[in-house]
Amino acid sequence: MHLLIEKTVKSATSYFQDFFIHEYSRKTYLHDVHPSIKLLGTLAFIILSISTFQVKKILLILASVYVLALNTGLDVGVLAKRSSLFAIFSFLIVLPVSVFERDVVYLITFPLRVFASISSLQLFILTTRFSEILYGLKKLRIPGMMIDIIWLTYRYTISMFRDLLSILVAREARRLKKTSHIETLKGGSKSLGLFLLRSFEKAEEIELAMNARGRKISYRGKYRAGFFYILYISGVATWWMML
Amino acid sequence: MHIPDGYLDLSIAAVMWVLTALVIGLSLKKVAESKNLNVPLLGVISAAIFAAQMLNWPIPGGTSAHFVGGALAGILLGPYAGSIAMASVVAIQAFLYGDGGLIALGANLWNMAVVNVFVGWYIYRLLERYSKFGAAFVAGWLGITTAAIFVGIEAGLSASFRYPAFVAISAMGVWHGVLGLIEGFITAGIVSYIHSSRPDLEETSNAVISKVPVAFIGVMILLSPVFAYLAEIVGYSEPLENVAEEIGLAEKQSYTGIFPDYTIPGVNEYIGTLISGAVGVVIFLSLAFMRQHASAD
Repeated sequence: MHLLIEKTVKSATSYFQDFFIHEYSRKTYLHDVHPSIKLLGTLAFIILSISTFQVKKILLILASVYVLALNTGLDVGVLAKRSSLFAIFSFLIVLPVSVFERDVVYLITFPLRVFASISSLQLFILTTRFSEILYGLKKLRIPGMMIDIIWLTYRYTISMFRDLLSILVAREARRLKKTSHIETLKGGSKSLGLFLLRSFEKAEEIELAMNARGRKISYRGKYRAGFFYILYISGVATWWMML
Repeated sequence: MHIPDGYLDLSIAAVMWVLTALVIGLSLKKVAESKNLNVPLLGVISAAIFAAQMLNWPIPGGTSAHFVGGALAGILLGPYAGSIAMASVVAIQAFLYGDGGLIALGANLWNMAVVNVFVGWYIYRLLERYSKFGAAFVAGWLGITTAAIFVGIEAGLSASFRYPAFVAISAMGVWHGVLGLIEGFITAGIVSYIHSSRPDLEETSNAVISKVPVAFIGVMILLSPVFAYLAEIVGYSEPLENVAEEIGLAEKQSYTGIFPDYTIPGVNEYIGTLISGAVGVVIFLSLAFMRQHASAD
């Protein structure tokens, strides 16, 4: 069981860092652009990245994303680091088929497309708080009920994980002998079962608390229309089409 | 399991978005009508599933696997609420961590929040009369395996992803078929524990589920590869480039610079110069203004 806890804590620590990185405190022009405009702009960047296999077009999008990041004061290194892992993975995935078909261009363009699209998404993530993303989705007419559920999921994930870890640590503290993989699976499943039962109880408490405080979740914000951002993307899209 | 942008063709991604929107929309409607389910419950249970996904189960050989929980969500909450809970988790993973793409989010939701949940739930309902443990095991195992096979189908049908469909499907299906055994075992353990401790909770998942909509969703799941195949035939593969060609903005000659001599081939020389100048000015002015309009803090 200790392996389960060790591996989980190690993995979750790096995972939860993103919760805090995400709450990026620095304010730049992009942070102030209306989240729904930014989301649409990001979609435009991604569509332009994945609609072509021409290297020059993909490089244009990649350059546009990184120039935008640089211009608005973001750490380009962080952006590249967060985008590179899956691009490298994609390179390895298409390596066999590229070798088989003797197509070096595909070996370069496929991961480059992935890198450009992930960079666009990461640029959006690094400049938009989660509450702002939900506000943007709401403005884009995504059903309110879905958004409220996503918001509550986000708010309670760390708290729920702490409860789960407490259950696992308590069980581990009571263990007297070494366990096999099968026993870990059995014990872990029981712990998860208990955890889910407690989650139902916690949900009831939270519902009562929400009823007492008022159930409406409001997402407000004051943002720029993002006129220059729209101009920039329009310019890049036009350039892309002309290439 | 999370497909990033770039693996699927736009036409297939669009079809998956439409199918997902239909099922999630129907699920939201059903949950809104339900008396047993509410927003806080779904939010907290989704958070619990998200937290449970972080458990890294050690498996022989020194590696580890993590739990997905789609079938479990269906069994515990019912297929509609289960699909919404999983959709919430998958959406957060995309918007917060960049796990999976935005254009591919429709396909990711389809695989993990629809196929995994509904297939798991169908199997559980079919087999639970024989053994709840066995039914939950098969549901967890086949739910995740089917979802992985759908990932293989979507990627395999996409012309952007050069591997033949059978290679992509086999790679995803076989690997997850093996790892899915762990998913099945955990799902079965949890369901057995909850069944013995709080059998009343099963009422939540079994309440008011009429057969017609779930049968309709089942047919949609079965037919979704056909829709994806048709989308690929109709829509391959680079629609924006096709548009550029149709409106005369694309050129077939070898690369001669972005705007050769500040003109646009095929467009009147003066207008071309005007447009190319305007595009450059727009890009650089917008960058400059963004810089200038950044908040002081």
